[in-house]
Amino acid sequence: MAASAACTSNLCATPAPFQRIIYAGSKKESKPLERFATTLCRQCPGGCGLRVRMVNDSVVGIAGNPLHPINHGGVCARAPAALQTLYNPDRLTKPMLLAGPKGAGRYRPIEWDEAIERLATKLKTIRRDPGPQSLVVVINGDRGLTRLLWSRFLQAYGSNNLIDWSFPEGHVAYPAVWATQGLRRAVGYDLARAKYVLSFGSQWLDAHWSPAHASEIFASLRGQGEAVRARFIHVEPRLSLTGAKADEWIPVRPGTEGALALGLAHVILREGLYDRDFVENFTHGFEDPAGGTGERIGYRRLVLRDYAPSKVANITGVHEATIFRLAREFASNAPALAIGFDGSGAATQRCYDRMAIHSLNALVGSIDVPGGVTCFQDLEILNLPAPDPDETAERGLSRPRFENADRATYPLGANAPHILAEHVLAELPYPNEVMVLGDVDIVFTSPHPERVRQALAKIPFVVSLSPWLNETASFADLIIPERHFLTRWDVDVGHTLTGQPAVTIGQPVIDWPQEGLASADLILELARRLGGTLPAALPFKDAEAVVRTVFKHLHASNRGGPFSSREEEGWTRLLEGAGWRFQMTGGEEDFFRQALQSGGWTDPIYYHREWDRVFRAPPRRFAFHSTVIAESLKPGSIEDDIRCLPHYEPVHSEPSDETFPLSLYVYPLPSLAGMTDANVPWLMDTFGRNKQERWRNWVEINPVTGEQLGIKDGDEVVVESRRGRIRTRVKLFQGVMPGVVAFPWGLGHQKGGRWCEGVGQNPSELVEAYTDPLTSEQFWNANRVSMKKA
Amino acid sequence: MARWGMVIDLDLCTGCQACSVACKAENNLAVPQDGVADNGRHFSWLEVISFVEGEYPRVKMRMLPLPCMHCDRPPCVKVCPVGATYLSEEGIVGQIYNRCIGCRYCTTACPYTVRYFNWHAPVWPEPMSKSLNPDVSVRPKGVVEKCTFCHHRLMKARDQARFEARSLRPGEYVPACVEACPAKAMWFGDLDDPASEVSQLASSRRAFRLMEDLGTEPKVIYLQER
Repeated sequence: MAASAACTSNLCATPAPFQRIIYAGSKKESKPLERFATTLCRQCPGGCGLRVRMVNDSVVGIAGNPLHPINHGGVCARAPAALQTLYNPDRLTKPMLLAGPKGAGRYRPIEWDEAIERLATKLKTIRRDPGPQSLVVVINGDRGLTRLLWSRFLQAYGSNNLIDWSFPEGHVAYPAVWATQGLRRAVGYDLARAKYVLSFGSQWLDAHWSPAHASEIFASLRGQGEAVRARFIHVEPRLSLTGAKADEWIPVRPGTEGALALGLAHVILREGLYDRDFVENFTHGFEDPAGGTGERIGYRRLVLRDYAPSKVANITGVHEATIFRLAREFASNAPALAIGFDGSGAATQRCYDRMAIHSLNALVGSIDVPGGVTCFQDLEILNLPAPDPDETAERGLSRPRFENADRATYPLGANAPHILAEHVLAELPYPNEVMVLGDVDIVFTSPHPERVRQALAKIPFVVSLSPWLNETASFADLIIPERHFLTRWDVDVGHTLTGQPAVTIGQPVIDWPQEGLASADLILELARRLGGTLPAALPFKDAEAVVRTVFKHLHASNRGGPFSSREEEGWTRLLEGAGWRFQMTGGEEDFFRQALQSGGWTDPIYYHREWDRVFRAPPRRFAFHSTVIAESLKPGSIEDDIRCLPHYEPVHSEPSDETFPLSLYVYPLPSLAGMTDANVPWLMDTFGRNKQERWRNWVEINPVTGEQLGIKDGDEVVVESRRGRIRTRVKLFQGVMPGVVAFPWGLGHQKGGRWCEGVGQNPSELVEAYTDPLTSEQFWNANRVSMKKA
Repeated sequence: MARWGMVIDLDLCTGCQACSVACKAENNLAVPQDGVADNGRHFSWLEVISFVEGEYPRVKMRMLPLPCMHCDRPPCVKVCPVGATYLSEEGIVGQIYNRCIGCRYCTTACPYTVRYFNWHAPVWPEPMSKSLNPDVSVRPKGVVEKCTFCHHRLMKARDQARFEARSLRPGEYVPACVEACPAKAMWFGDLDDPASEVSQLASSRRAFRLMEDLGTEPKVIYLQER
């Protein structure tokens, strides 16, 4: 049957009428042979919509949902590869119990009921002694059901420890936005309407949270219509895909992007090119602050004093004339955007660097204007009263968060997964009894995997919900595998870069009853088994009931509507802007059905310049001189002021000596970075632009560097740092700065399945992570290495 | 009779490889086996290739999605001794797997190197075979395979049109790569229809074809500012 309709020749094509007879005749049940359904993509946390094709109750094709506001029918390479995660022979579909020493990876299958009961019993026990705070739950950047239900569960249970392991790919502009705008969430960049885009190490075409959305935005940036073609400059030590698509690539030394931003600011200030209206009316800390005992300094004076182009040129390796030219271009092409989120797999920017980059947007007034930085509107998807904690829960909730970085030491470090392992090992502030890990691989994605391994080995009871037996899951005592996203209910709360919210429904597209258990259903079942106040906090039968409740709430919110074509969206925008709203025909049921068919709910309208939403911290202005940092620092001198202002600190690293003469630059592989499921042969087969490289690692160096070291293209080499050594192959590439070794990140899994185990190496074996003084985040790209022929 | 062709705008292409993976999924490209990547026997019907031009720091990198060109004068068809590869009336270069004897003359004759020989029998570890697209046959060891412009989609769309007693509408037949492209950098349609998007784009001043001097008359047209 499979081959009958498949011959590509006209000669042996199945005659059309015959084909229809087969289709009609094989209709044993009410389901048609071929079906399509819209759902949510969970190959990464990007939140794109999919249109899935099923034949005979098997998923056989995945395309984009044309109505989805984030991807508009396009997909990235990962989405069609979901076929190979769904039907992956190495994906776990049964609960497993440790049968052997921890970390050895020996397990025996158990029944679902037993697995849930074991976890529930454990949670009951530790809730009595030593207390509910000793439960830690780690999730991976999820914005949907899992986060929603875990946070309600933990509130009723009595633990503050819901940890978001979005590190290291993270929404990393966010601490800088917090410092300057008081806004503790990711922001968007209205790239499609910008006239000039300056991206600092932000590999938004390689590793954006939705590569499909980024590609579409790139196409509109290129002015397909009559719009003036925007100019796009990319700053990075290596010519990435993003750099290759830019009008101009500016190589800088690793870790010096912030210095370049300050150099541009210097020229803009010195030549008076900044947006005076915005700076005077909507910013804080531009001029020297008053008060304190001694002399004080503000943004303008600091930048003019310390970041003259000649000095910046020495730090960054960018020619002085280029700095002048970029600054003048940036300031004279409004709306201009400076993007600093390094969507990359390894944190390459420190918080001060990101603040320096983000401040450029304020200098030219590109905050919350069309073509500028967009600050998402708040969106509550569930409107239920907060859970009512009992006495035990209250006791637990009064304890500090487990990974709470001390804000006196790290002014922006309130939520710092990076110190999790250290705190577990030091039992700070209290011992961790049970850790529940969602679909995260905290060992592979950490710059210090051995510390995380030690921490996991120390925790008495580790539960993994990952469907992959990866490096992290192999430290679990109990594995309750999550269902594949194509077989479960889910919801994602996403945003387009222009600030349009999109709530996407994930629905089970095929029946696969024996397959894993959705985390959402596990949480609800645990609540029922634990009893007490928990069932009241989570009054849902199953995950589907939660999704329906979310959409009931959206229906009642009286804004937006189900996904629709762009033309219809235009009408909604026009009418809603004038205070009208389309009346939904039918009630909630009808609305839910429409949302399910179209893929979800969106509200196309975005109001610019709502300053209350944009600036959250007092004085409700853009703070060049960060009020958030000042809160914990109480600045009174020039030194303190500098700690509140964007500035450049030399990259913390050994001096360039003879032992380690090269800088290491770690960058993400577009198809694999940050993935917990690297065990996908189709993706192992597509390593980006490097045609000859697949199924193995390589490092890139400039031919000039190669000549100095006597290394030729294709040579086997050993890259060595103070911490470790990796043997790999060299590619000479003109698109790397001389003196830099570019290492791809995403390979080198030791566990996780037959297609990823032992393929390539993980650069985390080489890096010494440097802790950011503001956020306690780990910064990878401050390492020096040596290279010699193997 | 239509003359199917594809237009790819290289200024919009971001090299994300969605087309390449979508193609693998649509056309049942098997799981690569150990070692094929190292000995150059790896294949993918639509490869995104790249060129690096210039010297540091003035480096340009170009990405180019490379499907079968579906030439109007295909060199591969001329050399096939058994008529396994042919040019259809609608301009699609097809491959009849059960006629192919695996001589690989065609892979040698193709100047674009977009024909691939099955050195190994395809492997689909259970339950991966569930994801096989039933519209496309799995190729055995010893035959040559290539991009078909997702010809099975044309057959299906045409059947549907015939069933509804109408002619094929523009946009009803698109290959999987074009459907997947997130930057909307690919178009597909009838090059003989002067009103179609592809024929209009094909006459743009940015248009060029690969190795035009060979006279193969490819029907994949690229757009790029030069």
